[in-house]
Amino acid sequence: MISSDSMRGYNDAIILAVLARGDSYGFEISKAITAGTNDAYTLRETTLYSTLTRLVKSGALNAYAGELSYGRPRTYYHLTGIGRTILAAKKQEWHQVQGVVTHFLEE
Amino acid sequence: MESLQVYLDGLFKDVPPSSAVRQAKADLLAAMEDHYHDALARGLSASEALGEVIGSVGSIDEVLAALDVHPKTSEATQAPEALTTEDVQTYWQATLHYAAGLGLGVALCIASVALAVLFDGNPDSDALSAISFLLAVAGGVASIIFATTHRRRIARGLRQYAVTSSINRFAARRLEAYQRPRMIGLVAGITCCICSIIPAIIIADNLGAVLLLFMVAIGVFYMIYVQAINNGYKRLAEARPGQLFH
Repeated sequence: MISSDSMRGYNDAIILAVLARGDSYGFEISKAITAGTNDAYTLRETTLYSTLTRLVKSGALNAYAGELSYGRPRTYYHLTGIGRTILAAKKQEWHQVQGVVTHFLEE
Repeated sequence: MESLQVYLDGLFKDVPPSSAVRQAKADLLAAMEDHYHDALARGLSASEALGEVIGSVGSIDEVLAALDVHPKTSEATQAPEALTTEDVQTYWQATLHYAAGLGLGVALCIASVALAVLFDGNPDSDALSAISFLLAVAGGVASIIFATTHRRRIARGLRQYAVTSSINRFAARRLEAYQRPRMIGLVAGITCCICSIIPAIIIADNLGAVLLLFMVAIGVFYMIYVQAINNGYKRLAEARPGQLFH
């Protein structure tokens, strides 16, 4: 299990990457992350929600009321143009970070 | 899922309501319910599923930070108001009543036995013996309950105030000044208890036992009275400055 400290800074990018595949809602995003990392990384519900809230505020995502879930409307999230730009920048940054860390840790 | 709703309400209890907070709660509840049903579908029992969901919630502080919402606890983090000398005088006055009530209550309980013995042995006064015993015990218990609840009520009202170093010094001076009366009270009480054996030796019949119990009751009253008052001063003299009164 990867600690949340190690992943801090990349939660935004991971969520944006999940939403780049299509609109989704809170628990589905969380499940996609857990499944995509073979259970190595799980986002806590409050971390996921606070990250989604920040991304909506920054314009990277749009939130809208979707289908009913157990009697309540689910909030769905849609990746915006700004979100795609941020995701692209994050990908580029990740390649640089990966190169630097690999250089020192895999010598 | 009522348990999740109650849990979430508990997490948000200090958060001022707003549309953003209501939306956050609704979204978190939806995610928690989805998680709960997913856990049930994976074969977990209801309690295991609930445990897994609650264990994965995390801290609402990060949600509040994202929403730019500040919980009401910001008021609580302000420095508490300080205890005034009037407050502590009120508390000591209540302690004085408590000391008298507690001492009297215990003394009455001891004296009840003396009253029962006093009226015992005479067939005409058996009922008087039982009634006086019961009345004294009831009076004693009522006195203890009244004394305790009255002081507790006063003390509870002061719990929100902090002890200051000047209150500390004030209490320490009162405590020091009370050591002489306390010692006199303790010596008088102990002497009364020790001397209670004398009438029991001199007077062979029931009256000797009655006087013994009355003297013990008086001795115990003195000891409890001075010690309870002393503890009232000590409580504030030994409290750390800055901490809330308790």
